[in-house]
Amino acid sequence: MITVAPSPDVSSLVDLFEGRLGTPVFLQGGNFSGRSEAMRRLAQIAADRNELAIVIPPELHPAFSGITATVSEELDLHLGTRTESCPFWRTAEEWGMLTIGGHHPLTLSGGQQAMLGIVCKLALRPRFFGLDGALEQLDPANFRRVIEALTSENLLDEGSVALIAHNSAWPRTQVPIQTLSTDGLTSSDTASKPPELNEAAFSPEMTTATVLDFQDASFRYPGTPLVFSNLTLRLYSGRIYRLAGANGAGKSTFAKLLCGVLRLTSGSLSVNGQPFDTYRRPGTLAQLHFQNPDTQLFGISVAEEIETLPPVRRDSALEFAGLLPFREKHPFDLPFVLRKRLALSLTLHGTTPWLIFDEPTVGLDQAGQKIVCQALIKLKQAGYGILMISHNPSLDDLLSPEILEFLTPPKQ
Amino acid sequence: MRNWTPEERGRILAATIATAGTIFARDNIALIALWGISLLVLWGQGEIRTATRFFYRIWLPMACGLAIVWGLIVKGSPEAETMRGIRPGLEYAALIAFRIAALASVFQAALLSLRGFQRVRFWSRLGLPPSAVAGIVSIFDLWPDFVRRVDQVVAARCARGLMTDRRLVTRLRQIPFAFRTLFLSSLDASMERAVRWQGERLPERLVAVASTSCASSGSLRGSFVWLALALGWVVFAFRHEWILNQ
Repeated sequence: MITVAPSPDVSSLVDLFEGRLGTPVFLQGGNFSGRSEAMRRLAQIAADRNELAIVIPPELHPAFSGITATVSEELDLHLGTRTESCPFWRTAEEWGMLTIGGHHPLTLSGGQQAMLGIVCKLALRPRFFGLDGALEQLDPANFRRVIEALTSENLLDEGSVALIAHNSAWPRTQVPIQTLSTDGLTSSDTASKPPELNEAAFSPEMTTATVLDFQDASFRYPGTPLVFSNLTLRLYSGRIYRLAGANGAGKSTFAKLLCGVLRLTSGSLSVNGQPFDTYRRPGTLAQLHFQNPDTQLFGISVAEEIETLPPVRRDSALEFAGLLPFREKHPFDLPFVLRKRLALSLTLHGTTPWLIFDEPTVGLDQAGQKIVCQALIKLKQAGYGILMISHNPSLDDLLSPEILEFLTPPKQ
Repeated sequence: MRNWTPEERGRILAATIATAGTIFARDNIALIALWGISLLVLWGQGEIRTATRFFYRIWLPMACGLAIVWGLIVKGSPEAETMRGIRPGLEYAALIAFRIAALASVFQAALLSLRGFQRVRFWSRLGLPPSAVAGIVSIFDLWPDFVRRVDQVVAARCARGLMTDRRLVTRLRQIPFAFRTLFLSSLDASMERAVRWQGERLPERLVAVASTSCASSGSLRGSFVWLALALGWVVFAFRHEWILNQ
C-alpha cells in the first residue's frame, strides 16, 4: 500500500498524476477522509495543464450529456463513427450497451447507467479518470469488466491515470490493484467532517405481522418484453430478503411494484390473504429507498424533509443520520453521503410494514454500512419485512438475508 | 417520404413565410386552411399522433377558455370597441385559437419533427456555432426532460408514502413539489452541464457526429414543394381576405 503523507502538497498528487503509480489506483479511506478532495485536486491539475479530467460521481447522471434521447445517440456522441477496429465500440458491445440502444440513458438501471457512463467517458481519452463511488452499483461480473478495461492500453492512454474510490468490499479481479490510503490527508473534506451515523438513536416500534403472496405475477413496461412472468412467491415480514441478479434483471422494477409506483401487468398480490392493489394505494404497504437519494428528496431544507415523518420519529431520524447541525440546509447543498444518509433515515423511519432499500450502502464507508445493517436488524426484530437490493457482498455477512435471485436476463 | 423532405434552408424559409402570414392573416378560413396543410405534412412525417394529442390536450381546452373569456365575459374583441356582443367576442376567440393552431402545427412540422442528430444537423447547417447549436438543442429537450422529472417526483412521493392514492385532487397536490424540484434541478443541472460540456468539448463533437451520422436530411425538390405550399397559402389567405373586405 502506498500512503499519502499527512498534509500532502500538490506535488505529491502530481507524482500520482504523472502515472508513476501505474493505473488503476484504489483510493482507500472512510467518508470525508479526503478521497473526493484528492480527485478534485487532480482534476484541477489536469485542467490547469489543459488536459481532460473526468470524474463520475455516485449519482451517475452527470456522466451523461443530457442532450441525447437514446443510449445509441449517447454512444455515437462520445464514441464517434462506429468501426470494427474501434476498441470503445467493441467494449460497448461486450458490455451489452448496443442491445439497450433504444432506451433513454436515464431509464436504465443503476448498474447499466454506470457502464454506459464509463465507456462514454473513456472514449473521450481523459488524462485523469476518477470513479468516485460509481462502481458500487455494479454486479461482480460488470465490476471485473470495468477494472480490466481500466488496465487496457487500448482504452486508457499510457500515462493516463484512473482513480477509484469504492466503499464496498473489493470483488475478486484478475487485475492487481494498487491502493493509496488517504488517511492523514488534510483537506476541506476532513475539516468539515459531520457527525457519524448514530445507531443508538434508532429504536423502531413493533409492527404487525404480514404475509405477502404474489400469484402468477407478470410485469412489462409498455411496448417492451416481460421483465418477469408467472412469479409465485410468498414473503414473510420479520425477515430480511436480498434481491440478487445481474444489472438490469428487474430487481428495482420489482421494488417499485411492491410500493405502488408501478402496477402488475397480470397476476395478483394479496396481503394476509386479502387482495391488495399497491398501485391504487401507493406507499401504504411498503416504502422504498431509491438508489440515488436525489430522486427522492424534494424539500427545501433537511427539516422540511424530516417533517414528512410522524412527529414522534423526527428527532430520531435527524439524530440517526447525524444531520442535526444541518437542519436548515438545503439537501442539495449537502455532499452525496449526507443526502444518502438523509434519504436512508427517512425510509428507516417509515411507517409501513414493509421497507425496501435499493442499494442502501452506496457512498457509505464500512463503518456506516455496519450501522445501517444494525438498523435493518432492529427493524427485522420489530417485525418489519425488509427487502434489499445490493451488490455489496459484505451485507450478506452482516445480515444473513434470504436471497431471491432474479435470473431473468435484461430485456430489450 | 425522404425525397419530399426539404433541406434545412427550405424548411426554415417555408416556416418563416407561413409564420409571418399567420401573424398578419385575419381570416379564420385561411388559418384553418394552413392548419389543414400542416396536418397533411405531419401525417406524411408520421407525426399525426403528436398533433392529435396537442389538439385535445392543449388546444381544445385553451380554445374553450378563449371562447368563455372573449365571448361570454368580455363580449367583444379588444380592437373593435364599437362592436360589442357575444358573436364578435367568439369570432375574436376563434381567430386567436386558429392562429395558435396554425402556428403550432407549422412549428411542429418544421422543427419538432426533427429527431436527435437530425435536429443538431439542421441548426449547424444554418451556420450557427457549435455552442449555440448545443444550447438550442437543449431547449428542445426541456419538455421531455420536464415530463421525466415530474414522473420521478410522483414516483418518489408514492414510494415515500406521501401520495397514498391516485385521485385527481391528490395528484394536483403534488404539483408544487414537482415545480420546486424541477426549478432547482433544472438550474443546477444546466450549470453543471455547461461546465462539463466545455471541458469535454461536447458541442464540437455533437456537430461533428451529427454531420457524419445523419444521411442527407432533405432534397431540393422537398424545399420547392414546401416553399410553394407556403407561398400558395399566403396568396390564398390575402386574396380571400381582400375578397371578404370588398
